[in-house]
Amino acid sequence: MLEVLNQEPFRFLLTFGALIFLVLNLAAVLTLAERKVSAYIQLRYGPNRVGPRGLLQPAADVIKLFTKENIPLNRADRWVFLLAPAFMFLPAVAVWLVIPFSQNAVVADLNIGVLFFVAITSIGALGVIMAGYGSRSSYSLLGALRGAAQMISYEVPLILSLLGVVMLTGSLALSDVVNAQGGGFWNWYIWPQLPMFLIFFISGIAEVKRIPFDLPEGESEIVGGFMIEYSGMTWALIQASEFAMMAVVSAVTATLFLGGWQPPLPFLDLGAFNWLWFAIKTTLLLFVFQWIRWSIPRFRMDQLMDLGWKVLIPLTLIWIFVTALWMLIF
Amino acid sequence: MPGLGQGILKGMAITIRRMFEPKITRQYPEYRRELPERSRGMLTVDMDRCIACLQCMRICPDHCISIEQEKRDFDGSGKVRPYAVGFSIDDSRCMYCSLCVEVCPVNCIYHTEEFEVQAYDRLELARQFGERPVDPRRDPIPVRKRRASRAKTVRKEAA
Repeated sequence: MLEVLNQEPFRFLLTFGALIFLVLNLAAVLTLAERKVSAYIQLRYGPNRVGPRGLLQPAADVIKLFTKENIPLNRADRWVFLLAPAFMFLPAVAVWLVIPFSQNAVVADLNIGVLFFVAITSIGALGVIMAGYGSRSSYSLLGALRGAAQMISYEVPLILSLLGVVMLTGSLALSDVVNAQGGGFWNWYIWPQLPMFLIFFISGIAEVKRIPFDLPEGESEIVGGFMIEYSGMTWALIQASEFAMMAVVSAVTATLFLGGWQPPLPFLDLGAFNWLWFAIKTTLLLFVFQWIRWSIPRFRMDQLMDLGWKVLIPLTLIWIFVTALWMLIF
Repeated sequence: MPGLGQGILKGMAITIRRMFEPKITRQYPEYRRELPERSRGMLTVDMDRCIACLQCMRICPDHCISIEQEKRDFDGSGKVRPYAVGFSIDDSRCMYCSLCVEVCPVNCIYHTEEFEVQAYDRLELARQFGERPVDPRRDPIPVRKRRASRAKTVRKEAA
């Protein structure tokens, strides 16, 4: 039986199903975490009525969203409008395919894993544009245009900041990147690539459209941006994909710069349970995402563009040369 | 360059410190604040004291009090007194202005400390106090109509 499941189509289908399960649950847990973290930062308790300490709040949310009506717009470009959430959600699932959870625990160990991550995440921008264009509402279109500008601009520093790691590893496969960081936390790429780590994280926040880069959504000025016309489950899918993308960026950051599933100290090796280290690092990064969200106000559009093009891209280019010189000398 | 990111770090330090501070939210159904003196909750009537003078019904700006009055001979002396057979207070209309409390000559209508008023139908909020139920939708004094008719007669007299 197990051998059959290890055959190629079944293995892929099973693992992909497991990933969708993981991502949907992750999104649900993250909504609760978001509310709890925001509440605790603001000296409140947050949801604490459904279940013990509010732990079943996501279930209540899901039931509410399922029973809510998905209002179809007469003016909308219906298929584009309805497909946009899927175009946002599926990339968030697909990136998990190449992320090594533990030793040998990776669904598809592509030798171009880094490239795959970059390529698939940029499909998310397409989803935003589809949502904004398909709604045929001025706020949605404004949000979508902002989203397009922002996500395409920040794609550049995101890719460039990955190059340092790729140069040091000499491979585009994420499993190779993780293997090269073994042996303790001093071997992690965060130390030689600290500016790149920060730039990757910043442009990662911009990629997933979170505060302080949530201009496409822009609640206070364009009342929800590209997702203004969505309701019910389509809205939930957009939210889920945002949280899932946040998790993806955290996981990729943990993999590339924080040693993935590698334990911080050699004697802490848990064998098959090394995914715990990966989970801990990803969770910490997710918390940093939320911590930033509830601390920093939103950028202005011109500040956003200035930061992307005038600060982050030159910095990455400089650090690529520094890394190259380092490799040449040592 | 020295000031770069200082503000962000300062702000984030504040937020992380707040995360571990004791929370100030009061958990309402478990924790109930003591109501201040003279707070105005739902109205209630002491029917034993009510003399059915109808002043509360007349002064109520929202017409939330409906009274059905009857003349009764209480002690068999042949002297009839007004008596409120039906008395209803519609909380869906009441705005807690306290005018009825002020106007009541025998202090039989007063505020309680009860303030949680909710129902699925607004007619459920009409509470009956008398022997017979009164239709709470009844407008006790159709003020506008009367004024209009009076204006008409005035106009006729003037003409």
